[in-house]
Amino acid sequence: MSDHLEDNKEIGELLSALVDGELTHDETIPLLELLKREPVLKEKWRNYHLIRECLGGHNEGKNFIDLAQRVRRVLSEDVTAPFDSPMILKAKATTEVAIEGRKKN
Amino acid sequence: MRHRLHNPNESSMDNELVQQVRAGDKQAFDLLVQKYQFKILKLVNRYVNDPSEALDVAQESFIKAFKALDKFRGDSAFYTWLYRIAINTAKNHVVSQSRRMVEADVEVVDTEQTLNKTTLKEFATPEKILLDVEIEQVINEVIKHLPKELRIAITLREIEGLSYEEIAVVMACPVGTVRSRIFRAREAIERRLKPLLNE
Repeated sequence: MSDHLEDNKEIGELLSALVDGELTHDETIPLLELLKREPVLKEKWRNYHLIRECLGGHNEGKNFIDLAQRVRRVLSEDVTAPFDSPMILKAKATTEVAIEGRKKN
Repeated sequence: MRHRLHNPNESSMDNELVQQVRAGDKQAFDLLVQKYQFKILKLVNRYVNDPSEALDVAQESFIKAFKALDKFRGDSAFYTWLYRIAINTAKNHVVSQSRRMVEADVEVVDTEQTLNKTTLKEFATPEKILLDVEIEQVINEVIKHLPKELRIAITLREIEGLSYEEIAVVMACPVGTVRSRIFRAREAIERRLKPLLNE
């Protein structure tokens, strides 16, 4: 299905209008459902927003690809578990090193 | 003309996605991340000068937002709420970083005072600059060679921030034509960007 969607002008046009917030509620809901299911459309969704940001004069380059994937990965794990983001893990590690250092002194 | 800051339809779409996330649909949150990741990264980059730390902070902002979504009442736009979370996460990060750099028993430094010293640092790695420049070049190049109607339509939309209805008035054509022109312009740009992004 994805291959057909990539070149489907009608859906592409709807998606482009969705990015601009130019669809009605009734048009939006089914398209969002389709968007969630279809990686090809999701990629377009991402790229259209990237184009917008670049044209608006703030291009953040390659970082964005990692960010979306990283968030997805964290959320695919058990979100009810205590939050261990990279920053918290780093902070914990630093604290542990500091505590160990003080113990030795 | 100023870029419109708040599009009611866009807010309503975000709220719809938020409702879906609350109902347990993580895919809906993924769409919000895809949509706002560039803005959030740009925001965080103003405060955090290390690229990998900026990514961590931006990631944490989204995770915090996800976990706090029940507290989002919809009084403001979703992006405004997310923006606040990202700003606070970035500020806290800057403060904790500066604390780590001084003696452990130093007094707590006032957040704003710390931020004044450490915010707005620009950072760039050679690879990042190269890719940024390439992306920008590709987009400008494609736009330059677009048929006039497509070039005007995408410019009025993305740079001037006009609605389809407003563009239709300016270009003296039906709204449906505007929609089609903007889509065709985006498609042309995306086609050229894809190989670069998928490298």
